Amino acid sequence: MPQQMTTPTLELRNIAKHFGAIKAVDGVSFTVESGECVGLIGDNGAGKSTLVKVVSGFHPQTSGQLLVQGKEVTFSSPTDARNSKIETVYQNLALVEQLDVAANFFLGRELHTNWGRIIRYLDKGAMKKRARAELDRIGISIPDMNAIVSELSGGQRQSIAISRSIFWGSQCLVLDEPTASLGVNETASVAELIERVVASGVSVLIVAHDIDLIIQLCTKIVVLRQGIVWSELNASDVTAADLVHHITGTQRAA
Amino acid sequence: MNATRTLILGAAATALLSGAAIAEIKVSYITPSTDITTGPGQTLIGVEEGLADLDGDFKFFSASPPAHNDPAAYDRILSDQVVLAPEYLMVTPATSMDDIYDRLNEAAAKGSKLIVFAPPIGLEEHPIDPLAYIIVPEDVMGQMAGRDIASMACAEGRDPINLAMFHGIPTSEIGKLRSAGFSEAVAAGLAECGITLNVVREEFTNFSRELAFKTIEPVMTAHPEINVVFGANSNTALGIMEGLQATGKTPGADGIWIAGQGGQLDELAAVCRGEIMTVPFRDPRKMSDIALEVVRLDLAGRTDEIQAVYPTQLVPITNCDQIFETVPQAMLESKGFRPLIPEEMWDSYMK
Amino acid sequence: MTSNENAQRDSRPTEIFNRFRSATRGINTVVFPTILCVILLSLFSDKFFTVENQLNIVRSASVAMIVGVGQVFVISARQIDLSVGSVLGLTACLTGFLVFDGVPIILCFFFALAVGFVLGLINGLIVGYLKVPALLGTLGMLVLVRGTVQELMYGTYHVRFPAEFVVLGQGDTLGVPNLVWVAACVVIVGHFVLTRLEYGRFILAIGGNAEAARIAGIKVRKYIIISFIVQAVLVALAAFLLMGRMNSAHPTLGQGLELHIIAGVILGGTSLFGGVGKVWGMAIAMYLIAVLENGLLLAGAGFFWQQILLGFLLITSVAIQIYRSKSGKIDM
Ligand SMILES: Nc1ncnc2c1ncn2[C@@H]1O[C@H](COP(=O)(O)OP(=O)(O)O)[C@@H](O)[C@H]1O
Ligand SMILES: [Mg+2]
Repeated sequence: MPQQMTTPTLELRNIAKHFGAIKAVDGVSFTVESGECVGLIGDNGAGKSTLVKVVSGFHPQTSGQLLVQGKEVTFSSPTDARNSKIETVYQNLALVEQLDVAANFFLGRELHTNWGRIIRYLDKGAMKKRARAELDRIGISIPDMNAIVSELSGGQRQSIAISRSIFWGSQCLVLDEPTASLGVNETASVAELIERVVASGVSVLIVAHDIDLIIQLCTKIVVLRQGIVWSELNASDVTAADLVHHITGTQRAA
Repeated sequence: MNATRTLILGAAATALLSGAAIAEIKVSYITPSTDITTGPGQTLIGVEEGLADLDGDFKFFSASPPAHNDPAAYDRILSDQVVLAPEYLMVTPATSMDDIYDRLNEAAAKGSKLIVFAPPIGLEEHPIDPLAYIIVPEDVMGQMAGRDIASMACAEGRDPINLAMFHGIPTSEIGKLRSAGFSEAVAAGLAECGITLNVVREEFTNFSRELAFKTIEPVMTAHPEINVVFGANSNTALGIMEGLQATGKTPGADGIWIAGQGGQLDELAAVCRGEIMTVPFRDPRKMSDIALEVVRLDLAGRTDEIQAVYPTQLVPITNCDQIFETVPQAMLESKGFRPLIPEEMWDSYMK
Repeated sequence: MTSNENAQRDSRPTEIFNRFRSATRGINTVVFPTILCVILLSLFSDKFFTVENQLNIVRSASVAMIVGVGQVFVISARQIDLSVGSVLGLTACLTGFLVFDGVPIILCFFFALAVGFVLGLINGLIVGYLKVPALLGTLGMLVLVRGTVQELMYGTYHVRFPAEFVVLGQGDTLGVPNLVWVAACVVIVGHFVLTRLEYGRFILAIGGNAEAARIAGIKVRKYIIISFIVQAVLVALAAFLLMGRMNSAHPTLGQGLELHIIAGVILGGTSLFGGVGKVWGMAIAMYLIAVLENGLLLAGAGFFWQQILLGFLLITSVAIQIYRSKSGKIDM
């Protein structure tokens, strides 16, 4: 038996998710190795979002197994997924626009002052300082840390959401359409951020319609079609035009 | 900078002016409603107009809460009166005297003299000491209507009488007295000529025309045998009348008899049209005249001549002739009455 | 005229406006009409700006302030509670029975809070578990609870409470009405909770983006239920004080209160769309409403003017808030 090099960060074995008669995901298997970027693509209704929701703990799967670092896990809430160091960044759902950057950075994991632990007194100063430090470290420039999120650009928001996940020690980052609704420059800077994240050893699973972006960032591409893995491809072997054929079902490589 | 100075100067000037007008006498009248179709609303106008004719420099204040039976808002208004400290504070209670006697005492402590448009019920428990109570003998009003209905039933031999009672606000003393007076008198009167009385239904419609209108239909559906309905005030009686008409029933001598209370102008017009059978009439202008008389006596130093309780006289009204005999012509001319009766009828009385 | 001059001319009003905006940034919008009304009304009556009258105004506003703190939480969480007036009435009437049974006042107090707790929990469960939208769920409770208290009292009411009970609502401490002390404490604590504690942060996050809050691991339903409970317990506190103030408890007590409360909360800068809550702004707005009620009355103007002005202020203040939030941040 050949010795495996490393344990995959995330492994899906025959994952299925049915909504009554609808087989949104119907037996999907693939792995995301440590420090690898995997692109998940497919036509509308192929089951991408559903699969993401299973991985991030929103829906329990109907059948199949999820393995994180080689250990089987069952998620009954997004918190469970996060405790297994899987962080998901949703396109529009990630941030609370009315709150400031630091508040969003620490949302649900607030820091409290020592004396204020019992009444859960927020340590706003510490949160602001650490958020600032982390953003600086990753190289994201937010001029005004007191700004509320609705005043920031789409790229800044996405960067904050991603760096928040990294900050919380995510081993596997799941990104759902990270560049939808972003301008060209913003897309480029978010792509650059994702590259840095991958380079730092974090595994990334990206769902995106932007095929060029997927080819640029990822090493492995999984094409879903009608709830199954239609093709699994090496990014270096394919062109954008090839991928379109896989997505539409006129080519297959499984 | 300049604007501030102007403001300060303005404030100073105003303060001086109000200081100069030291002889000004403040009179307040607080009512649950300023609606001129209601008794308190008409009394309010009477007081305001009467003050203009009275000797002296009067400043008149009036207020009523946004919702007519909101005791908390009424309480806040009275708190403001405590600060204002008018020389004369006239009140018609919104819900019950019990709810306001603390504030009235605070006002009295600040030097306001009280004139209360309510009966001195539970006087021994209320430690208030007004100049005068101006009262409508509400129980008598109920009794008058009750006697009228009983004598009509006896004369016509309408047997049995199936009665529906539409009470006022549950906690209102006025409402309770009227209802009790009516029940007692109608029962006694019918017993005399041996007619059976069935009280088939009792409802609280909060002195509201709308609520009475909405309530009468289901009540009649449940009890089609009802042939007399009592309404605890003018608006209740009118709501019942309109509700019956809206559902194709006929209020009046040949149909369902309605007994009203108070004698608001539009209710009197309904009597002329024959749609309401009996309405003991209390003249709101008489009440304001009494209040002004009390003020006049007090200002003239003749406080000892003021009676503790002034009852206002009630007139039994069961037909249009009595209305034209009793009610001042000016009130009948107003748009609350004249357009509501047929033109020919008006002309025949004017001859 | 050169085009340069033209441009300068055009930009001048905008510049003045921008300068005004940056100078007033961070000041709650409700402050301006309040100052204006206070100045104007003090011109019309020399009684208006006396210590006695100002205390009277704050006392009048205090019940609304106490209830308003709860509503700030509820509305910040993108919910609404229309049942406050009915809860006030029922709590007062139920507690009245205990007071007359000779139950010690401190126990009556905790009983009142318990009634509030239960009613708030019911509101919370209706919204949180039955998934009835708050607008409809609490509207149902408004009607249901009012009906309950009317049926319970059936034409009767409580009056003439023992003297030691009345003192709470009518007495003074250090020259300031007890009601004002309590309202001040509730407002300060409410502001502290909303801006400094995790609970307040969660409420704002839920109101701003419930899905994001849920993803962040915040138990959205739990905190929504808590906010309804906080609201109803504060209503119960207000009921307890108001009973003493009025020395009576009526089944109609609190009718129409919800509109007064919501008007004050929105006027104070809390967003009806959730995520932004202003406790201080609400307190100032309640003061403004009481100022209108009192000042117009002292000035000899009719009571209806208060409603006309209040409606006008409400519309303009929301319009200004929306305008300011477009290009500047929503004020604090
Ligand atoms: N909550 C749900 N209930 C029922 N059907 C669902 C639900 N979510 C997704 N589906 C169905 O599952 C299929 C896959 O949807 P989705 O995962 O959103 O696809 P994609 O994200 O690839 O466009 C679609 O047919 C969709 O209608
Ligand atoms: Mg999708």
